Amino acid sequence: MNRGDRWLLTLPLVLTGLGVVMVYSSSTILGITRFQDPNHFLFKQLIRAGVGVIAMVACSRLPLRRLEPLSPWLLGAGAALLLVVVVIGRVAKGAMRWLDVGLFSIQPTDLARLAAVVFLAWWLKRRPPAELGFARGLLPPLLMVAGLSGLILLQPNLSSAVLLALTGVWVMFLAGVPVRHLAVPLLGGVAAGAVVLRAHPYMMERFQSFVGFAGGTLDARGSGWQLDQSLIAIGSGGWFGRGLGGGLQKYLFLPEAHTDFIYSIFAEELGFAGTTVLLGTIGLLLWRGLRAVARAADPFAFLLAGGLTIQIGLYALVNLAVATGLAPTTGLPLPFVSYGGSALVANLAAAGLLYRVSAMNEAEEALARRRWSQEKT
Amino acid sequence: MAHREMRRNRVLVAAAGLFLGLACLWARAAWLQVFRHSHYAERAERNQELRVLLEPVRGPLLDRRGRPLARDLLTYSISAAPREMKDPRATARVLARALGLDPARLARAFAARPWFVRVARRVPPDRGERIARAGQRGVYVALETRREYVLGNAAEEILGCTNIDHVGVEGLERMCDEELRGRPGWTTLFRDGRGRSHQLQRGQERRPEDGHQVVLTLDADLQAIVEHHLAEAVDTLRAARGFALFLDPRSGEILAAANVPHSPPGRARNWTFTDQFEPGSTYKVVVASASLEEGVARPDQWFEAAADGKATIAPGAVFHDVHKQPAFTFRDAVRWSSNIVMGKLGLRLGADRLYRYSTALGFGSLTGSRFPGEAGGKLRSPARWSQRSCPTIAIGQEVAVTPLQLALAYAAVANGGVLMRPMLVREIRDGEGRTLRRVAPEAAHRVFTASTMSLMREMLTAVVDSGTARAARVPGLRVAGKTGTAQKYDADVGTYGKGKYLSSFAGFVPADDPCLVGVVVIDEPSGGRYYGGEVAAPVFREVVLDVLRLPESPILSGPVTVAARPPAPAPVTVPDLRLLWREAVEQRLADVGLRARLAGEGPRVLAQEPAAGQAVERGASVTVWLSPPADSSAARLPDLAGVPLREALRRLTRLEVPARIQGSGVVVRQSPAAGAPLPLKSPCRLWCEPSLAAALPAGPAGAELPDAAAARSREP
Repeated sequence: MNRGDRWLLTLPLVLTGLGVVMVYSSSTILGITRFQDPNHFLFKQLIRAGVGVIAMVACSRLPLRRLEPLSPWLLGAGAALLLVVVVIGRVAKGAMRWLDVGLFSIQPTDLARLAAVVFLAWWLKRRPPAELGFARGLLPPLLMVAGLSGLILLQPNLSSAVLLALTGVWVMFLAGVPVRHLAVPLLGGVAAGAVVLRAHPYMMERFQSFVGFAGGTLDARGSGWQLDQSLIAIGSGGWFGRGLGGGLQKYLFLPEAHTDFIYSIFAEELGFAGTTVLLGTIGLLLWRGLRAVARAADPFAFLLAGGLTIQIGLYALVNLAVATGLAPTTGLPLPFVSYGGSALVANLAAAGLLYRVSAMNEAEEALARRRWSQEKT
Repeated sequence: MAHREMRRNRVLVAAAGLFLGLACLWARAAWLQVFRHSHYAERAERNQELRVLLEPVRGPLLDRRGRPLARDLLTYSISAAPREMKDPRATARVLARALGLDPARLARAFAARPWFVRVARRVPPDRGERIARAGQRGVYVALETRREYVLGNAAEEILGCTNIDHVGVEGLERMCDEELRGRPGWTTLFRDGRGRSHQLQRGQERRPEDGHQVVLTLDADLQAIVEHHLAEAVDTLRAARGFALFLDPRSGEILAAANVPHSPPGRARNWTFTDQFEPGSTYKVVVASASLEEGVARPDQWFEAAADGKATIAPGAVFHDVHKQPAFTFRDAVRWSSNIVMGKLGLRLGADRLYRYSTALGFGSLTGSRFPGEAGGKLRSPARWSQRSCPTIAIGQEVAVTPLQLALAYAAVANGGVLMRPMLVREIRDGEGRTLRRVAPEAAHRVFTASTMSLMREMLTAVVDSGTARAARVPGLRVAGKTGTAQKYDADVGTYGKGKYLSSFAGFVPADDPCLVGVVVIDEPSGGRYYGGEVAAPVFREVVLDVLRLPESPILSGPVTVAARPPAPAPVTVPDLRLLWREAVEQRLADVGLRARLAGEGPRVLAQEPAAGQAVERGASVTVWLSPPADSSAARLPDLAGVPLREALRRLTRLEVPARIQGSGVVVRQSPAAGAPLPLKSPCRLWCEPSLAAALPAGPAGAELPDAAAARSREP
């Protein structure tokens, strides 16, 4: 078996390690307040990181030709779990997103988004839309993505649904769908988003708060509280921050400091220098991922790697944009870094798959090189 | 291969999208963390810091020997939130045992009110600290400072009191407030998002500076003695009230100032400073000393009186003598307090000289003690005396004095003719007791020569030895003094009432080298006895007897040398300026050596400060308020456009028009419009805009500004 691009394993591990440290730093106060245990969140995150590393290693050794036929089953499992969570899921923070499985709880959304990418790659490889036209080529996968997004919307979880749909559209774009065909799902998605926004007042409120913030006003006491506190955290970091563990905004000022707003605490404690390093790391990871995508010969591998890279990239971009006030406040984790088991395991698994793709590329290229040298001699 | 090319391009587009997003985020982070850092750092500080005021300890008031008269006591208040307790019953038991309360009752209180129960207040420090250390959950211990007055009621009128904010509002507490108050410090605690403070101090703090200790001139022993005997006299005589003031004639230090009965706290006034009364015969020391000084009378010169004790010595002035004799030597006239002779001496002395000596002795003006609410007495200027005023004032009527003024005048006799400035504060010490400042005795000026005074002391000694004040005799000690018995002017009847007297005694011991001057006043004694010699003099005697028994008697302590200041300009009386024309005011004031300070605009004077009849130093200024212009009778709303808001409000207030204001700065619009008849039905509304002056074209600001602004505001 060939070696793959080891950046694709080390960078996620680096980010996961950083995440464990930041979760510890940002959750101690909350842990004391809520569980009388400063290490509560740290230990849970460590266990999940362990599970995630196992998943990553497993995925990195899973031959893609074995994965390919599993795709429909994976999607079926994801959709089923989503259905189950809508029916019997646990309600937390106003939405049903969690499914209690014995010792821990999982978010089926994370499994479903992974499964959706795998399925799309499988489907689009077998039925290339570029050749089959809109109705026969594009419509079926579109409907699949829309259905999955719809299930996620029922929780309700607008941001995850939007990101899943966007990822799907990107994958179709990579698959060679004409751009004018993609305009249809994009417009439809915007319309559906508007309807959902209207149906849920709290979403509307956040959206309006964001519009207000973009216009220069921020209701710092009400709906804009979280964003305001996040900006204070980031801004007070300065060049080099208050030092690791020295942040003050985690003292119950900033809600969700260890999950969706972990970047704010990171920026407060490590400053602009830390931000630069973090963005650099993420950028490097995306670059290595896209490199693997570009070099993939097999359409399944190409689409799979493309979908996974773009998914990780979109999650990172949206999370950071929310924390810095460039997007409306939503609850999306920062990949590898934020507290949260399912997302961490899913992302590490995705990283493992990316590594697998890169390893396959290496193998094929080595094969091609050998052939070329043989022809020459 | 076109297919491969298309793929590459699409990956590049995706890559471009992702990296553009990252670049945006990086720029955004740079903006927040580098360019806006100071803004957010400040916000974070405001967010997270909790500034806690650290109260300073208010300085104590000490008596002249350093014994505390008023001090801050640290106590604790203990409250409880039963809901937060693990076991309210057990906590109630523990608290009850520590505080000596009934455990069952406390437990019931906890059960009845789970949110907040005030368990105890004013808990002594040791117990409070023990409870705080025990650290029971749901029990809150807070510091509570209380002002304690060591002598209790005694001396409360002179010491005054503090209000709930620990600010001195009366008496010496108010007078010395700046010294006593100290400077509060602060510390910053760290606060979390739910507003709870955490005990990690962030380094920044300022220690509170405790107030200074103020050493007073009061003597706690003497104060207690005086209060005791005064209360006894007021009780046995069933008098309305009594007050007494003792001071050291050599330095002007006030040793004791007592009032009986004590008024409820908050309404207590120190009568020895704030109340003025008609002194009666005790005032005769002025005319007697002045006559000796001026050579109008010699001690053994004979003066005609009346055998029937009744004589008309000036038009409308019929004087009566209690001790009836056809003629007195001057000495005996003092001894028997002859109204007729003293009235005649007043006439001989003449109004101007009598007035001059009266003011020189400090009557009719403030003594300079700085005591809050001190009265200045009442002494009209000779220009406003009637024909009978001169002899009447000579025997102590038609004037009003405070006990302090009287005591200082007798102190001048006692110390050889120098009027002292009264002293209440001896020394200021810092919180640790190191002396910061010592207050030196200060002489106002010399009034009489020493030889006149020694003659006077001799004659006053005779008053006690064999005259009207025999009740003040103390065995083994020569006492000098003078009694006074004034019929009280009854405002209801409009004449001197019958049977209402104010009896007084002023004296000093020892007569040869006086070190203690006392004034005792008994107001409205009933039960037949009312002469000062019968009523007030015994109090003085009892006080002196008790003082002699003190281990460190002030009477026996060594003399204090005093540096006399050059004589100050004699005080002048403020003329009545009310309703005078403006030009006349300045003329009138210049005549008596005063300056005018005009307030407001208008032709005539409405009010003045100080009031007419008050004695002030020559060269002082008198503030007069002028009436508004005569056209105010037209009573129409003025045009306020362009007028600064403050001035507009002043004009409206003068017209008694309420105003509602919008904005600040200069008035740009008003409703109703100018010229509306007054009074208005609703408040006048003013719209203002800031700094209109800045928006105006260049030109001299000030006088022209309002017009320009007005023109501008009318344009739209």
